[in-house]
Amino acid sequence: MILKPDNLKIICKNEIQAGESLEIELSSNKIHEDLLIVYTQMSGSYVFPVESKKIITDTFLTRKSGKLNIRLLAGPHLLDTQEINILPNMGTGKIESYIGPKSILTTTNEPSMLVAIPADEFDNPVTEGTISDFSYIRPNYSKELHQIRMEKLTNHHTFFAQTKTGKTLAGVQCDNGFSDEKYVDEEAGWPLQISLETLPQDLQADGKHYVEIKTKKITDKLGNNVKDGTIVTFSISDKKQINQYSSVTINGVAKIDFKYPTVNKKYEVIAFCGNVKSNSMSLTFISEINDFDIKYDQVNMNLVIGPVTGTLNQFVPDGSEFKIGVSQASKKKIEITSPAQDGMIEVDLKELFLDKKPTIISVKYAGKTTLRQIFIK
Amino acid sequence: MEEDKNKGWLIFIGIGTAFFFLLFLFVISSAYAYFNSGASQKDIFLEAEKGISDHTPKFNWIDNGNEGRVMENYAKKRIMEDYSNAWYYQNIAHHEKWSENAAMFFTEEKIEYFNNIGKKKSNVRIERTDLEHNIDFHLYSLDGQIVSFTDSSVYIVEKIKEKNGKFEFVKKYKATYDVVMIYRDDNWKVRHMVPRGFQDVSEQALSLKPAKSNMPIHSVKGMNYYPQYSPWKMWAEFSADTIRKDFDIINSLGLNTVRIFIPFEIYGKGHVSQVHLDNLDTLINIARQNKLQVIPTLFDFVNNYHLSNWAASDRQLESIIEKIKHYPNILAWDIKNEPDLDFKNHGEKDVKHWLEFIIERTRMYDPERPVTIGWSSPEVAFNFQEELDFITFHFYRPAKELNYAIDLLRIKCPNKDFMLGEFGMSSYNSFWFPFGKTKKEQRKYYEDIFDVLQEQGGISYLAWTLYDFQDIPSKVVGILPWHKSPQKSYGVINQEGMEKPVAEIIGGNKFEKTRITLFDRILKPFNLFILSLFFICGIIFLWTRKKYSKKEEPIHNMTVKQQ
Repeated sequence: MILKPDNLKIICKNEIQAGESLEIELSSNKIHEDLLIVYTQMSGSYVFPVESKKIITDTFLTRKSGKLNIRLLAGPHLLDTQEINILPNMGTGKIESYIGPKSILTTTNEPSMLVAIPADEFDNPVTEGTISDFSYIRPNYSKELHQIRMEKLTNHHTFFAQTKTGKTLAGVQCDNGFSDEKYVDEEAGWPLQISLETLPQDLQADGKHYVEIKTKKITDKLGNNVKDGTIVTFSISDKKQINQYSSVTINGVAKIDFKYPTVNKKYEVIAFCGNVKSNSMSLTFISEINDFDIKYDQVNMNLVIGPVTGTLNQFVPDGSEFKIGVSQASKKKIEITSPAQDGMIEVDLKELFLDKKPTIISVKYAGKTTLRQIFIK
Repeated sequence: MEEDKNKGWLIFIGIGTAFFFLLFLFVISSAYAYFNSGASQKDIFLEAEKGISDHTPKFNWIDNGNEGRVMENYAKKRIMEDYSNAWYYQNIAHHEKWSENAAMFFTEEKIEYFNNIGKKKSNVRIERTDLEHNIDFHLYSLDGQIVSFTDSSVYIVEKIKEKNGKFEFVKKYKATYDVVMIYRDDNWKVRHMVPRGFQDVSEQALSLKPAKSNMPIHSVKGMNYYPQYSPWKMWAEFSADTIRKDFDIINSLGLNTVRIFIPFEIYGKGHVSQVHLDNLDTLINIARQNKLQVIPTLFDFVNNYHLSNWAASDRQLESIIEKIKHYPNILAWDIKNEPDLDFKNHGEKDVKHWLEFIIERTRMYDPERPVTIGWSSPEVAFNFQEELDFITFHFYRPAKELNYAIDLLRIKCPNKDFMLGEFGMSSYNSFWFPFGKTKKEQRKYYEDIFDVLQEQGGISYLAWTLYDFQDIPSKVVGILPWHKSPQKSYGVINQEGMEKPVAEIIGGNKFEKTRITLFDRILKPFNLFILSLFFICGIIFLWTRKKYSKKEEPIHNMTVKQQ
């Protein structure tokens, strides 16, 4: 049975700084062996036996700001209770700060928020009402400073997108503490319209080169280039099929490289971004090659075609497929395909078991057919 | 050569015997170690972690609006869950240790601080739980990543126990915290938590209001109810038709009240099953249609009175009371059936603290209704007399002992109404059961009880029970047949659906007193069995005596002749 000692009180300060040593004195020298002191703070209670009239509270219990409740117990009896207010210290070091959303649209004047939690060396948020400086450098290089009061453990400030795109840099200072630099991308809104750059016409259908198809600068309604990486889809169609190619904008321009066909073609080109559609432009490829020789080697029964060159005297691309037809009277026409190498095409006729009589050779390439009669001996 | 062979066998047998002896020793010692070693610290901790889903404190939202983004309902729910989990880990860390999982709900800085505190050793064990939170959001950042709020009047219960059981100090307090949480790694984590004040509510008296039931307690004549074919499984096998039929019978017996039982675990602990709640609502409604008052007995089969179970108990209590309290035929709340029987296994202090808490919360959720506890005997029914509106006790002993028991209780609780919450007699009889009673004796027992209740100024009663049951779950009375079998025959209606003699008088109707004759006492299966045994033994004895006495006769004659 633990008896309740009378008139034993706790004597201590009402307020201390975080991390400060707390000295507690009991009102009597009669220290009961079952006396306990109970500290209740943020995470719960901690109990220690009372060994002397003066108690030096371990600083780990005074590091956290807020109320610290102290009770003096004699076994199950509560003798006295005190509440200490532990004040946070001045903000030092790095201030924890958060910014978001990380990108905002200029066209809709979207908001973003910078939140900061200045804290002291024991990670206590600074005293309520403490003022912090919220500084910004906006995309138009204007500077802003807002003084924000600490309220319910946080300082926060809402800012809105301006008309110019770019980064808004933000930082917070409180007492001797500074936050990391944070930034928000102020981005253009949806494109207002898309236009295609004028395309070259009557290109050589040589299957070798690439034509660059690109948009003009795509901007939002405020004239800002759309955000880099905005996806633009190019639709390239001829009479038979539609092909789509995706690209992304860089500095407001999206482009693709389109390989020349090997035959005469006319394409319609349109670019899309979301629901916004560009004008339609045509792209024409014309096949033009110079006349070429077709020689027959009687000894080796070898057909040598070429050199096949374009209008600029360039060889047709290696691998360009030539369709060669071999026809003899009273025999079915034989068609073989052979690739070009350095503008030359060679065909071995031995394996075709041709009759020894006049034979017509047809060479078809890039929509052009060349005929020649040879004599198989 | 022959000797060598024998030696070999002897060595083999010797080694074999030694091996079996060692094996036997190993098995026995392993079994002993298994049954005597408790769970390891790790096991205890893992067990404690499982309880996180049962930690269901009450959350109230103070909807004053907040700065920043509009709070979405899903975000609010998620913040509540993670904040509640953070509290749970904080609570168990007090008496166990900080878990790695706690890092899911606290930022690294907090965990580091807690770990440092955890290193301080003490011979005092602290248990803690949080039961109610009142959240007022101040800021929800535009990107939905930071939230700041005040959690005011957090209801916390703390037990400080000396490890050797020298003392136990219980403190109830309400604390206010400013909190910042950050959404990180798919969880809301506590970043800052600053206490703004503590208010001790340990000494706050429970506000006792006069009972406002629509029927005076002393006019209760009722029945403890379970359906015939699903006793103790009533909610799992709920049948509204069965209940309608049974309540009609109860009404026709002249009774006006039923006492029902709400099992804690089956109802889902802190996450109360909506299906069960709807069934409960149906039952109360059927009772109302049959003009029956209902005393719901809450928390049947609770097996954990530890602080960690208080939040779940509170959630179930609130769910049930809020669901049915609008019914005018709820007569009173019976907090717990026979909680004193748990004193031994769960610790009297822990059970009593839990009861005190539940009484307090019941009054908070329904300040209008009387509250009682169904104590297992009149001798323990004085507990919580100040906190309860009327006193309920159970009595299955001989009727002649009841008068004295009530007198004794009245000395301890002079100003309280009493209710005999359970009483009855089994009419079970069998040739192997020496204490069997007849249906006539059952009726006589009821008459005697009613006489005492009348003599005591008209104490209300609830009989056990309507039906003889076909099966009793082993968890209720155990597996022993001499416990289980009699339990099946406490009903007013037998297993075939026929009313027993007691049915005539259970509603308090006056009939001619039953007289138990000597024949009534003797003509029981067990007695007849014993008599038959005596009879058979007697016949055997006489027969053998006669047989032996015939054989001895010539010897006697011979002796006479010699003389």
